[in-house]
Amino acid sequence: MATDSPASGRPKLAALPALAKNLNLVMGVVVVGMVAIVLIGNAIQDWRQFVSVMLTGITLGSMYCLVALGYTLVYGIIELINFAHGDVFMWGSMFAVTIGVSTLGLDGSQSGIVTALLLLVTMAGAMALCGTGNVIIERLVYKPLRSAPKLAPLITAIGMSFILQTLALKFYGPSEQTADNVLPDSSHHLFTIGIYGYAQKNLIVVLITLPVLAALVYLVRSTRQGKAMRAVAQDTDAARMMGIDVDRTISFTFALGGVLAGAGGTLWVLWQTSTRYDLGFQLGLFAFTAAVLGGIGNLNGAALGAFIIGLLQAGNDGLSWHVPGSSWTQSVVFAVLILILVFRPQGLLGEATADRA
Amino acid sequence: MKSVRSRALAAAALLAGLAFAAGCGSSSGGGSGGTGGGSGGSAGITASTCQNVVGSGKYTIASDFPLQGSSQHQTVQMNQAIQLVLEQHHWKAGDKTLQFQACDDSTAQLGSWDSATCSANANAYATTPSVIGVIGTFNSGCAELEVPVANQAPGGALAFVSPANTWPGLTQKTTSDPAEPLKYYPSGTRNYARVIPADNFQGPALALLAQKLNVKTVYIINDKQAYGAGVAHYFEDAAKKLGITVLGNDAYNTKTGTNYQALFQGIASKHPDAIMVGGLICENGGQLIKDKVAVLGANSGVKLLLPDGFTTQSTITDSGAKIAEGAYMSVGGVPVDQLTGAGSTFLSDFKAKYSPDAVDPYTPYAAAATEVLLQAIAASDGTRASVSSNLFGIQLTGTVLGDFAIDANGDTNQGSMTIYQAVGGQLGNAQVITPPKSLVETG
Repeated sequence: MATDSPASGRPKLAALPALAKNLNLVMGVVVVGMVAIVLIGNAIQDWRQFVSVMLTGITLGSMYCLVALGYTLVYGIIELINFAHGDVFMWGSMFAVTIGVSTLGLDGSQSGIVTALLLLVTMAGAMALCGTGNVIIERLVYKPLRSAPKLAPLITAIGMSFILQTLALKFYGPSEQTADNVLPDSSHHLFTIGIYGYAQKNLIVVLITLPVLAALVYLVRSTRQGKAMRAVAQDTDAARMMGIDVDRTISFTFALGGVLAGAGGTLWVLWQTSTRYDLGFQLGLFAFTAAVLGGIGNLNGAALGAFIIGLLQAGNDGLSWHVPGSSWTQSVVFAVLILILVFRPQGLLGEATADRA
Repeated sequence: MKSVRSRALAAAALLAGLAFAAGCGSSSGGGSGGTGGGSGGSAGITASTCQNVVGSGKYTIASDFPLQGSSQHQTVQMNQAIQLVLEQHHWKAGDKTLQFQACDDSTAQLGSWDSATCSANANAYATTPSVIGVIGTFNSGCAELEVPVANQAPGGALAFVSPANTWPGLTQKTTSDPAEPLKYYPSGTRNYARVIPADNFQGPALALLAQKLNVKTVYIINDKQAYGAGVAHYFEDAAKKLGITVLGNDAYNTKTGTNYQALFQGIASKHPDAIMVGGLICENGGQLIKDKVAVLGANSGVKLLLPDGFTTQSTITDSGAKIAEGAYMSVGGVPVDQLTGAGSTFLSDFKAKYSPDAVDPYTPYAAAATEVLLQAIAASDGTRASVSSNLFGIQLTGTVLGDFAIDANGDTNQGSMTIYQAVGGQLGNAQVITPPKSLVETG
């Protein structure tokens, strides 16, 4: 035997590193195995309920995905967890209410074509305003801190989140901003499984999210601008030496994140028909968790993480066979975040790249 | 270097976790209002949250309500009701001359009561010697802060009579906190009474309604907070006593941005006849109702039973009139148009004097609280301690609410609840339900 056998002839303690090395794998298998057993159990118990809940989870995941992509885009390029992103999303929803409901008077009474046109105007307006806002935030707040220690921009981002929230509280007040149903309301079912209807608008959310994701991936992977973004992400100085305008590229990334938040916020208002000044906080937190889960900085990872979180939440809320139940949903989601941070900090699809800190 | 990144992520997660604080309630901020100062009478309260002294007497009665924000419509009328009662008593309680000061426990930026302002107000009352009693508070959370301060006031525990607090723990033992109610009375003597029935009447009233609606099975969800989980608990107990099957009592997430479709899909699999929610409309309640209707159908089918945390027009505006249609909402006391005798006389006097667009349900309760305090002051020797001790066991006849008594805990013996239904975008179909003693759980 030429290969060395780790346990033979050595003190027992020496086996520990080998165990620790495999611990990630063991933990992973145990967690995934448990989840699989619960899912299969539930599917056998009542497949109608199982399918309906999972479909709800996919819609939820799509919504988280739109927010998580914004987190991951910014992190990918300047390694800043932009905690204000959830609040930019909230502002997107507020702009949608102001433009669509208060200004254009969208209330679902208009004909199909008029509604579609007004919706496009609303969405374009929210996207433009959020994109511009995000660039201004970057220029005013994050840019001066670009060479500061990592914790400074991070805390600044949290401060920015509070500022955006308070501004919304100031302008819109503490009550909910409501919109009428423009999409077919939730009593319009696409199909029904047993007693569970699948609302048409749940599908619309998914159908809007997937092309957005595909377009983003295309932009980052295959365009000139995307190449510049990836270059800046890899090595800012080298990118600058190669003639890439680093400031412009970073601004572009923030604009893209803002535009995404504007579109997502509009979609949120269409789906839920209401928004409030503190919408961004929890959504942002879940989206951040999703981005970390999938591997922050990785677009596909953020999407994967978002769908996992959506399914996890829906499953825990809506399934009946041996799940902790809705009292524990947040605990389950954040337990997943902690497990990921401890055992796989780079996330599911992320690469353990060297940190520039 | 990998560890640096994971540490940064962990720090980020921690910081974000610390930010879990906002919501419907507490924060801090400044106050606003007029200035204090008597006009011939005793010196009034000088806190900036208190308006000018009205009347001129030896003793000051203060009121403590949120005068800004969403409760403004209610609280302005309550102050008017207090003044009207004082005028009708010629600003006297027995041989003691009185003056009145309205104080504000809210901030403009919150639009609701503010914990820092509540505490500051309580200290101002305690340290102003002429203050003999306080009518307030409006919100139970604010009372939890003010009553203990007033309880240790110099010159003996300062009397509080609330027209609107419904949290049982202010006066009785509760299952949620074994230290209640004694923790609000650090000096060992009681100084707090209320004229509105507490939430332990609300659960039974909703359970009786469920029975009347022929509900056999019910699923309860609650917000995990003292009020929401409490009222859900009282409902669950009463429902079980009435033979209604409780399929579950689970918590829901109250943060804005939460979607409840999966939660209701899970509930749908248990086929309940009704859903009872222990919570507040301002805790994402609009979304909750929308998702209930989206998954379980209109409220005419699977009934929706809501406590007074939802009994406001904003429940209908936040969820949409079409979606809220048919939901039941309970609130303590009897509706204004069902008052008789001295109550209806008071209402016509009130309308003649202030010509309000509509008399708010809490307005007669503010008048009744004033009558309780006046009677306690009249029977006292003019000290704070004596007024407080006179509150308990007091009997009132011919008040705006009819005859009633305050028991040794400070609770009223009137337990009538009103249940409204959302009809055509309005609160309508008022019915009064008075739960029998056997259904009401008391500490």
